[in-house]
Amino acid sequence: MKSSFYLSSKEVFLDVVDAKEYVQLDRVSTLYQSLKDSVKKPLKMILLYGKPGTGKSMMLNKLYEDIKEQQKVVMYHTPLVDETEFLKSLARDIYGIRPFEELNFTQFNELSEHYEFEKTPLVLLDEAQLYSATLMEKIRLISDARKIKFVITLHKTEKEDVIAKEHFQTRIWESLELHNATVSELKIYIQKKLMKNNCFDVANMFDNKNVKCIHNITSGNYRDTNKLLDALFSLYDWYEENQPTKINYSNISTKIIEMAAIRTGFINA
Amino acid sequence: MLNVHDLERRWLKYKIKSHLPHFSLATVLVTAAVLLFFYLPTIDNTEEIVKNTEDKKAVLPKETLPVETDNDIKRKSTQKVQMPLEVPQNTQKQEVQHPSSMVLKPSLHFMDNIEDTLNPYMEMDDKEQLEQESPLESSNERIEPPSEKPVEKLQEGLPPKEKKQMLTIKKNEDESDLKDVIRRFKKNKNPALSLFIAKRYYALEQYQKSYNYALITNEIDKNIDESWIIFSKSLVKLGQHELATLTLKTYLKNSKSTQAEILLRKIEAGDFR
Repeated sequence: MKSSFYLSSKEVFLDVVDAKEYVQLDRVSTLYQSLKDSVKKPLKMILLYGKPGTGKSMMLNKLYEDIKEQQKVVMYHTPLVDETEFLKSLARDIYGIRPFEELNFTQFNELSEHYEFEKTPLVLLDEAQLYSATLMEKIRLISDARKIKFVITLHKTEKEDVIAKEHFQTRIWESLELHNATVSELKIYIQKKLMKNNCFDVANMFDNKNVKCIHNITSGNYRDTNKLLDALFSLYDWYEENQPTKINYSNISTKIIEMAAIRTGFINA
Repeated sequence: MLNVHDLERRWLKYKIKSHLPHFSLATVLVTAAVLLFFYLPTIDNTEEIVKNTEDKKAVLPKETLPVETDNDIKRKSTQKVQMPLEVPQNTQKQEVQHPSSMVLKPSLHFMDNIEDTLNPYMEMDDKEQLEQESPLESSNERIEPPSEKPVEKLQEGLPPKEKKQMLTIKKNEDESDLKDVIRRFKKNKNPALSLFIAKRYYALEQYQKSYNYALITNEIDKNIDESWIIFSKSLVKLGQHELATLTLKTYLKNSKSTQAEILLRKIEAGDFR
């Protein structure tokens, strides 16, 4: 019976971007509300940045899910590196036109002049650091025309900061930074995720000591935590199947957390 | 595919590796503690020895005594002589004070403990004294009347050749040789040496110095009759008859010293000047 719990717990922490799995934490919730407010403002661009695994894509996905019914919104999870492809995709997804021939920047601007929306269409670009500098410049020019509003996410590195400075410094934009979770946030995150999936028994097995150990290993990074917990519940499932006497059902074992960290490469042993 | 056994092995290895620095540190600390436990008593003993030595040094200050230079002695002794008779009553307080602030004053409160011993000092004239005191120069022992008697006997029984030897000894007893005794006294603060110096100065008719060294002797050991007698005699020689008389009278209240009585009578009768 327990074994199934561990397996379902494992599935909870699969690294997928699903707005349904979004966990509201105090700090994240405030940031999300700021993002939603910024979208309503007459801003040309909004920058969402932070280290990898801090929940940028998840927040962007959540935003998409929340506002898609209210206004025209397009989300690109995978960067469209080719300029023509990018412009053709925008024309298709925003204006519903499927150009058979090549669409250049001037043609796209002429096309956008023929369409008016009650609310400015919103384009959500994930992993914007992968776009070329030329394409970023075009995106900037499109946003300047105020025909399309962009929300972009960036990894916060020194190089990416330079890109942000170069392309968005003179724009009217708002930037929001996402951070790793604190120990208390991480505990809420883990337990909420488990409880959302009806894994109440397993959620109760996490105490402060366990969460602190996990936080030490992952530094509160959500993606790393997901990865670690996925490995942890794989191990628990194995023990449940093969050596159930080694399982303490009242608490998560620090030993097994560390074993999971070794398996996932967080601990070099 | 999960290889849990391999993971467990790696985990054990990791735990050992992660605890190794703590274990090493603990081992070092325990070793250090054990070493300290065994070696500390030795160090303590050494420190105690050093401390004791320092304490002894502190009890016997070298440089602060007023015997440093002749000029100092002269100046202080002159001041002393001019002081009123209340001087002896303050002596006990001064003993508690630091040597640097010590002022030489005769203390007469000790007289309760003074034994009445017959000292042949009074029977000797100055010349005899010179001859008897010379052998003491080489020893650090206290000058006691019994120690002088054998010297007398020895002198009486000596053939003429030995008398010549004594003349040689006399040669060594000049003021320059006294410096050596003073130096030795400064080192060990032996009252026998200070008494010897007082006697020597008295014999050399340097009464201020003899007064001063007699006073120092009294400070170190209050129970030496000879010292008090030299002290009083020096006072008389310095013209302080009344002070000498008063000192002897005060001394005799607590002592049955025959020598002191004889000297007091002589001073009062004017036989000793």
